[in-house]
Amino acid sequence: MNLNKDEISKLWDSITPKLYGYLLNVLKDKRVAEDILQTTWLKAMENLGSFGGRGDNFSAWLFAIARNEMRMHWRKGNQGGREIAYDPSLHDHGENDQSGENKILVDQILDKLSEEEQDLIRLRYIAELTPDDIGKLLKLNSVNVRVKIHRALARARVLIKDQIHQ
Amino acid sequence: MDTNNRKTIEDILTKWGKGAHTNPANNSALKSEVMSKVPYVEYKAPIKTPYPWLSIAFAGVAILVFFVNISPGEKMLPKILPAILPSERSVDIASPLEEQAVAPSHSSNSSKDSYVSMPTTYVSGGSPITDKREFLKTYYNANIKTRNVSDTKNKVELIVRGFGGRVDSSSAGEKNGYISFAIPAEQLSIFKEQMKSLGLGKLYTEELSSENLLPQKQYIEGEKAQTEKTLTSLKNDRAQIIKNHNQIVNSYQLRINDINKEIAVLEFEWQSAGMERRAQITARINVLQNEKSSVLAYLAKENSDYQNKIYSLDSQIKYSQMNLESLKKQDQNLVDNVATVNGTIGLSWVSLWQIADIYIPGPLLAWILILGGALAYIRHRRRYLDIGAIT
Repeated sequence: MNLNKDEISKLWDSITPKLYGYLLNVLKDKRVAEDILQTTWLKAMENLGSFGGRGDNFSAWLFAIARNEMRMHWRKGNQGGREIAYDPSLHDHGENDQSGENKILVDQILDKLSEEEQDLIRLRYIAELTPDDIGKLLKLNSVNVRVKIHRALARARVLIKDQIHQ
Repeated sequence: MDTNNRKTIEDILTKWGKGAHTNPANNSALKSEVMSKVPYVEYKAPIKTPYPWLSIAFAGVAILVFFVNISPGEKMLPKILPAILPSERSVDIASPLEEQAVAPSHSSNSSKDSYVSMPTTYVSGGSPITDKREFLKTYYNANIKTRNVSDTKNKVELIVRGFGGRVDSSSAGEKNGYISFAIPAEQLSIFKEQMKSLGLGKLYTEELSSENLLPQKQYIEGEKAQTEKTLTSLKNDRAQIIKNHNQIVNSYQLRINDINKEIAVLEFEWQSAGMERRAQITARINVLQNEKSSVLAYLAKENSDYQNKIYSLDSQIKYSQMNLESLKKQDQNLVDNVATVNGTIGLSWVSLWQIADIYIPGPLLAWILILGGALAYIRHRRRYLDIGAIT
């Protein structure tokens, strides 16, 4: 795939907010998220020639690299595990209170879902990947992905109702 | 949140997902670093015109090929020309019908498409409309395109014989073959189905023509009536000649008997007669002997004439009877001929390309060009829409 600087610049502007938001939501650490973001892009640039282009989404390819980088990061054990205490300051972007409440609510709901369900919801709603791309990423059938997302949403719906009633 | 009960979980998550989108604090620095690592790509000036010219060219040529192929100049001419030319088929009146049964010219087999030729009438002048009889002689022509000419020829021969027919002539080469045959008329419909199964669909073309042999039948009937009339006349003449002959012979015989009786009486008288009377008797006997000789000569001539006349009449009667037999045979042959279908089957080898050309509507080349145009358009889309596809 031959991409010039202008095209890469446009891709950066459109993909980076999603990718960084995804990394931040998973890692909950700005520094690590920035490191992995940078590493992901640099690796993508090094291996740009191996990206087929046809039938593959560049965004999905980039997320695949990022997820691999995250796995390598956890393997090193620097963090001593994936569980990091929630730090609202990391997510405070100055939105109104209702939006902030919404974020806190969803993050709390996500914590009650399984890791696979959390992953699916992040990839679907933060990364904005299609079920087909998610399927390729997770090595699942796209129909299976749709079913899993549907079930995760059903569970999330129940949890949100419970949360609201509380 | 609690006031917005109508919100779906999807709306909440979508809003949450979009809210999570954010750039890192040092976005510009990170971007600059990444941009510095972008591999050098040779700058290609954007093509000013994004029109798929190659596809348009392919499509244009395809349309041209299509219209050129359906123009009447090429395909209609072979159909029209033989139809307007007089047929060379003719029938010999004198020879038996089995020998006359000339199949329609199979020259049309060499042409790609068959045409319907008008059968030639047997006797010019036509028949009166009051005679509504039909003696339809059917001719069958077919052309089979096959991948194996020799094998198909053997199959056709086998089928012809299986239907109680006969193969009159056949030939088979690598590219073309030909079979001339005759089958019973009542087997024609089943036979045609068998032939169709040998050349499925458009690989089989057939032509059926029929000709009413009524003029031929009328001619034979007229000849028969005339011959029978002549024969009756000859037989009557013969009977009359015999009758006349017998009368003449009887009259001569009576005269001879009278002469003999008178001579006998005179000879008896001569024994007791005087010299003068004996001289008179002798003179009279001489006269009678001369007369008897004359009558016998007349009788002999009559017998000779009679024999000649009878021989002549018998010859004529025999000839007429033979002629009548021949006409009866011609009549039977005509009936048999009507009950027989003469046919020819042309075989021609067909390539896979030709099969495709036959089955695909319109000229194959046009379709190939259309396919080429489609591929060129896909390539064009890949070239110009790649960037949009990957983001």
